[in-house]
Amino acid sequence: MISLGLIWAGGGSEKASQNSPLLLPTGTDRSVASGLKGVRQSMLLLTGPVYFLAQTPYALASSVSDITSDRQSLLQQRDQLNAQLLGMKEELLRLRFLQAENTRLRQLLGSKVQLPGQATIAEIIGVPPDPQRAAVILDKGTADGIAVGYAVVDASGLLGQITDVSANTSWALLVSDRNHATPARINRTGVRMIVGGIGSSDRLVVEDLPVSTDLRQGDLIETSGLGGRFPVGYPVGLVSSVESTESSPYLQASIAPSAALLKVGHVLIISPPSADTLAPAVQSVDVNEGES
Amino acid sequence: MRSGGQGMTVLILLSMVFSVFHLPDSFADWISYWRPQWLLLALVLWVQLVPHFRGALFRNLFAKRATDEGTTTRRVLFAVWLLGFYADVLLGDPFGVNGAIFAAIAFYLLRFRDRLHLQTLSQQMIMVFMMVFVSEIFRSYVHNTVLHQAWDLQPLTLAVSSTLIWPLYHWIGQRFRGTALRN
Repeated sequence: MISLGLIWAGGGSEKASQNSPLLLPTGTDRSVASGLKGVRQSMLLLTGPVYFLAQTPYALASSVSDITSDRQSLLQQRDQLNAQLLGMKEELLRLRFLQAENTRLRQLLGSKVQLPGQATIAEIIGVPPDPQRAAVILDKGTADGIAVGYAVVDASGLLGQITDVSANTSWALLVSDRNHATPARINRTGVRMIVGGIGSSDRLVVEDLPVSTDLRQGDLIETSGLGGRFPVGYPVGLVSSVESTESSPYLQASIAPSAALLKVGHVLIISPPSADTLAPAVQSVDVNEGES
Repeated sequence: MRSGGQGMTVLILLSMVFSVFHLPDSFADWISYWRPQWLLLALVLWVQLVPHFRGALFRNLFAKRATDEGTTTRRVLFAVWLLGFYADVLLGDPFGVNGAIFAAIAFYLLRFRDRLHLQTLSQQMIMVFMMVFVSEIFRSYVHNTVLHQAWDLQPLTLAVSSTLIWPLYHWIGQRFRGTALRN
């Protein structure tokens, strides 16, 4: 109780000295919140072992299956992975060419080049027991350079973002949670929108898109990069149904998420993209010059 | 006596692990609506058995320089309130929800300890049902206002599953009580 009180009092006076006297109440409130956040973060560190213990049966089962799997199936798996790797390498070559071309075109337009953020591999070690909470607990924390707001993706699309972090664990809110909204765009037309979660793992909804928008079933929805939290171009989902009713000026569209939201396994945590500014000489190029 | 206290600690730790344990993703979604409130049940058992654990740990933590029962009660309430903050972080609840629930239930159990002591197992099950039901309604209310979650049947399903699991905890409690009384 005493230590809690000290955190509150200490935080309060510090904030008060930074803010003008008029803002004192708000500043004090904020410092109470940030003090509690510190307490919560240090307690999060203590919950790590409990989650690791709860994960033990699965870890044991996977190591047992590793030991008992026979040579034939391992060889088969290796061949499969080799074939997959070859395909990926070919795709990567094309991607490098496209990336170089994209950079050149961006330089011609004088727009900023977006560098991709750093990616860290993490494992899902827990899922909160409440089925209404769409979140996962990951085994990476501040010690691995993870911070609140980093994007989480899996092999097929955007999974969510980091909301709480301790030294060696972190909580990620999934895109399907009621409190999650993703700045997105239609891959085909580039129209931007907000995709919100509704608490269901197989359906996301489009928020406030006018009925006149060109949106079709099967359209790929990807992150738009607006807001600076999610890197641009990661798949969010495919449009599964579009409806327009006469009573509403907005489209009723639902999206099937690309990422496997219910699966447990490995994910990637991506730091926010950093924007690189261009040299002033390149920025002054007028793209309309050639047309006139 | 000491073995009872250690067993209790193990039970509380196990209850924490069970409360965050997740089923394989091939399992049906609806099963998670029927998860018992392991930690709450362990807490109910601990508060009921507190007078029996007058070992070294209990004496130092709750009864040292305590002049009356009230001081011990306040210390026990404070301890379960702090445990509630840990449970908040563990379960990802808003800060303070579990502390309020735990402290309220512990207060009820300590205040009416003598009367509750005479209850049969079936009466205890009814009591557990009511406690879990009311506390889950409170939790749902907080989740609804803070996290914008929808109301559902969870208060009812969690109360039913917790009630059905209670005989197991009751049996463990009797084992502890037997150990405590023998020493």
